[in-house]
Amino acid sequence: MVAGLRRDARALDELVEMRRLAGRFHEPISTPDLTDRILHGVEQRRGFLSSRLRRRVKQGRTLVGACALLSLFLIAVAHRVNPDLFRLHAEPTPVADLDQAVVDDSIESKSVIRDVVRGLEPAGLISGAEPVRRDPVALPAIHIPELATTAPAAPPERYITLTACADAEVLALGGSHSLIARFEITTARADDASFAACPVEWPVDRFASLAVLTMQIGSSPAVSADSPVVAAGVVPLSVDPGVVSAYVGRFDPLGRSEITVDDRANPQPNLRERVSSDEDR
Amino acid sequence: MDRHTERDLIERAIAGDRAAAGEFIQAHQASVYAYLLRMSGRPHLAEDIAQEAFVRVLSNLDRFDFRYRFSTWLFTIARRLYLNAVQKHKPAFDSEVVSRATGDACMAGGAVDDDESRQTRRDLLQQGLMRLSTEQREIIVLFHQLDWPIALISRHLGMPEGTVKSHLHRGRQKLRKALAETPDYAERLDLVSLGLETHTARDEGVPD
Repeated sequence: MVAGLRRDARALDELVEMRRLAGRFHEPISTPDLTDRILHGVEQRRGFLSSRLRRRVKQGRTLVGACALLSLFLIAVAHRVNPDLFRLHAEPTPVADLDQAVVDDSIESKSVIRDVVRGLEPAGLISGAEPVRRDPVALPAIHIPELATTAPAAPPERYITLTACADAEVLALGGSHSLIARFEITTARADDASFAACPVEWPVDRFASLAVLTMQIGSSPAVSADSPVVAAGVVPLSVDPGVVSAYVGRFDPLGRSEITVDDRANPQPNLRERVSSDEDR
Repeated sequence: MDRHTERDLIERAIAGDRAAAGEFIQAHQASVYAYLLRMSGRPHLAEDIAQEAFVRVLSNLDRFDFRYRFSTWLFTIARRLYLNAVQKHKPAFDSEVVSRATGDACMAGGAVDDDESRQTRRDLLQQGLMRLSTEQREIIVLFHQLDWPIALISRHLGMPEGTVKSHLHRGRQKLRKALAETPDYAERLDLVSLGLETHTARDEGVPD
């Protein structure tokens, strides 16, 4: 190629000329020092740290990381030892405790109702007092002055048992309070304390339409004869053998009230006097 | 600067070492400025673009891929910034038509007849370069000014090596012709002794 160029003068001239031009490219160019301007621009965007500060930052980051790891380790150990330590809310109780919880709730409910009942002042039997109507039942007080309270010859087969219930309704009746309690007809239980406390037992078949009983309740142990106490349980119609009052009524959830009175003084045992509610009168 | 030193400097600069960043700038600012000056013909513009290129590179050093050379990345950003600047001021006419008509060295994208351009016009070489197309000018500058091999230029510009060689050849022809048309060209041109070294070795392209 070189030999060929030597023969071709024109090509040689061109090559020489090009080399001269290429040489001009390598002539030094006066370059301004942009270092400070550039570093200033970089500092504005991200900043530089001195080597000492860099070391401090690195040490700080290492320390923070180590503390975080240590904290996690300690939390894990503490959780292992005492799982409840970091629990935010109570562990749900298993179903196996449900029955006990129901019993406990029942006991608590009974104690609450008992407290309410105890708070009622014991009152004597009301006779001749006008009832105060409270929805939906109005129970007039009817005094049956003379009623033989002869104990039945044989133990009755069924008894009316009253129990305090959460939905018991308190009636203001003639100045005292009566608690409408739920009742049920049960077989006699000899070991029932409330049953034993009642002097009179009334077989249920004597009250054909008995549905609801009102009673005056006072559970204070120190009661006088003037303030009879009727315990929830088997309820006699009279707490005083000499004086009998009967409050017998039927509670109708639909709003009708019907009260049937069984007048034991009446020689006709099947006589029924229907006493309507206040509205019906 | 060898790769090991370059990597060490980069890592120190990433860590926030101001001195390491300064070393980078000192090592590369001359070549970047020369490249931009040859491309634009305007010293102030070359300064601004060079500064911005360094700031961007040093601000994003943590993204640098150590598989490549830092200089390549730097020149890529400088090139983009230059092309953006050209695009911003691009006139509605072809720069080659303008340069042929006026005979003046003008920046592709519009000439500004200010002090800096007058100074540059004195530089014959710059005058000739401004008559080339952007691609030809760039390839000639990278090849002759920065001594980049053809393979590297090809990778940098995303062009096949054959295309790079073609642009190089045509650019040289055009540059010679442009300079020959200058009235006092023959008087200014230094006559040096003949040498027959060619650029064959670099033309073959030695990968960086």
